[in-house]
Amino acid sequence: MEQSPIDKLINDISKLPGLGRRSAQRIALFLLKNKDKNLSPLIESLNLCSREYKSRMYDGEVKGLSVVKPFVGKKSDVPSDATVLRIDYESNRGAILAEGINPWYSDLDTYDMTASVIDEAVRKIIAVGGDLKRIAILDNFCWPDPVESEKTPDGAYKLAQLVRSCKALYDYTTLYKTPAISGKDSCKNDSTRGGKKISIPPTLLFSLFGDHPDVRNTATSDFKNAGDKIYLVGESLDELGASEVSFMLTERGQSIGIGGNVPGLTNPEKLFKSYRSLSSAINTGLVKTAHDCSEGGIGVALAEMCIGGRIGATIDIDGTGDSSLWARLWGESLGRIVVAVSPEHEAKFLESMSGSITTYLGVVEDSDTLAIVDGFESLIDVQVSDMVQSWQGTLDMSGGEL
Amino acid sequence: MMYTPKVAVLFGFGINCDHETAAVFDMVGGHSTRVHLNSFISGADDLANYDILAVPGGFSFGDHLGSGRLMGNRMRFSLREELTKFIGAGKPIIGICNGFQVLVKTGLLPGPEGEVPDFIQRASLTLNDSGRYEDRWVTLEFNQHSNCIWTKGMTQIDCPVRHGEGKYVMPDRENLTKLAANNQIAVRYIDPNDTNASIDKDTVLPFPISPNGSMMNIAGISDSTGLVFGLMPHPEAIYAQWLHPDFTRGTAPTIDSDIDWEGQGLQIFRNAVEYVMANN
Repeated sequence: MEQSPIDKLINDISKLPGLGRRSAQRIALFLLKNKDKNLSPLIESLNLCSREYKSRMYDGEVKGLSVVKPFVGKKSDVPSDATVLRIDYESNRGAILAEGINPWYSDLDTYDMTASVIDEAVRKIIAVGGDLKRIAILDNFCWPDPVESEKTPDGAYKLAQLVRSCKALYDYTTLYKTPAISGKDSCKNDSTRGGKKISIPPTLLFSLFGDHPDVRNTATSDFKNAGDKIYLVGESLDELGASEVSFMLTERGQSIGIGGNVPGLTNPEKLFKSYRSLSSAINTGLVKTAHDCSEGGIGVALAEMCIGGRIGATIDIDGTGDSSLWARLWGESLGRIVVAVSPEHEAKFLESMSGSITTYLGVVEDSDTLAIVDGFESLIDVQVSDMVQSWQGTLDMSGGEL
Repeated sequence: MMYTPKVAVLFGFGINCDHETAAVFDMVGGHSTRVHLNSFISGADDLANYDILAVPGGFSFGDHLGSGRLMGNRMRFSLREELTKFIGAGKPIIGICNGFQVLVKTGLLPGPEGEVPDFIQRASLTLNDSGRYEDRWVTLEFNQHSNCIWTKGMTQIDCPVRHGEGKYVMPDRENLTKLAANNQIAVRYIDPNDTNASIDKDTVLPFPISPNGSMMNIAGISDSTGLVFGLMPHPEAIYAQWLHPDFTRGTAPTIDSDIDWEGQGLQIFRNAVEYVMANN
């Protein structure tokens, strides 16, 4: 009997090393649904699109100390991972401000949500060259009413969510040795509209305050020069639960839910070693480009880096771990930072990262194309200028040309 | 021994750029003191003790009744005599961002044709054409025929604008033409890539090259004496190359200076300090 084209594709994919039939089916589905090899559905989503219109209405450089400002990149229009400020007018020592927030993971577990946002904020500090040993945290709870009452029949569950979050807060701040020096609690974030009660998802916003040895040696997320070599620091695991891509597919009716593993920490000691090495490679001037990899995974991180530099890149995500293609492209595993390093510093960088998982991804190209492949399979092939438009278009309220 | 010019940098009422404004004067050989406006009004301090007056950026009096209006009135009605004497003594004054709005509403800028200030408001800084406050970097071009002591030798710099009311307006074309003819338009927004090179310099450049839609692309003006200078952009925000948005890309503009990290904006403050030194 003749195979259907889809079956043939699945069979072909399952012949690739390390792939079972199930993964092959998912990949086939993905390829069919993304036959235009586009990233736009993710980067133009409300959670990931540019918020430039709003952010520009805030003074991001008063006091004349901001070296890494809220906006970075060739056109100064992509958000920085963290801001870096000189501590005063005489010193080049710096203070770093970063934050982590991800309420979506609370749909599965507030423990994992809390853990993930601590790591997100810490790795943003690492991505600009901050010192892992000197980080202070503000924990800001924005919670729905967790007290059981007539209006809040599910109060016990919401309280349990709060307990899970506090447990993670203790576990992870002690693990990362990051004192939580202050914060705020707001536990009545509910509203009744037209008889219908709406509660916000349990949300923890971490604001981090870090220390930088020399503000002149930082990294920013935008790709700088064609020829720079791109690496992934960290490992992509099968952790697609509550990820941006799973929410997107669920909302489109293309997936039955957002379930699955939410990113967690597997080997903290190894992670910290990797953070220390990378931070030092940045604050000694070896690495000028680094971007925290979070919502939307490597796919979105690379898109943002291309948009920032208004420059293309060729990427192969084969070799970034044993997990499924989806997890490697869109997964949000913790502890990952995408880095670009100039060819002259590449050897030194790799030497400084020895003992940490550092995988070659590709190269910055003198082009307008972001091309991502997995071995022989082309996954993404998109024009950077098109991505700029879709990413900026969603919340552009400037009303066009003035 | 070289004279060290004393700089009064105003603070209070919502001014929030006083620290960096004080710092840049100190970097170029001045000695700055942050002084609350009320100290000059109450007599606790005397404007005559200083050689330079700086009105920094911020949001004095919460920008109520229009940016710079209340502080402008406070200076106009309570420091009239002191300010007149200050300018009469040949001492420079700068207003940056909110400070520029204050000086315009005080009537010191653009000021009368004569040398004695009359505290009559002749222009205004009104809501940006975009209708909103924004922080973004712009490129400025300085008038080479200006007599302004602050902008001597300046050609072109990049620096941020951080304002919602920065559109320079005057009641009629005649006033504007006169201002231009007197070379009081000290600094304008320009297109660094010159994609609008064919456009007459007096024609308003498109957003965001002109961030606000100012008449004749005016970013800053001086009075007839050249001592009083005000501008909406923040030259003090580019005292060092590290502060340029292209610094992290390794492409920030460098300048010829003994200070290896000097940014494009510092010369403005050095000009005033050196002017005072030369006259003391």
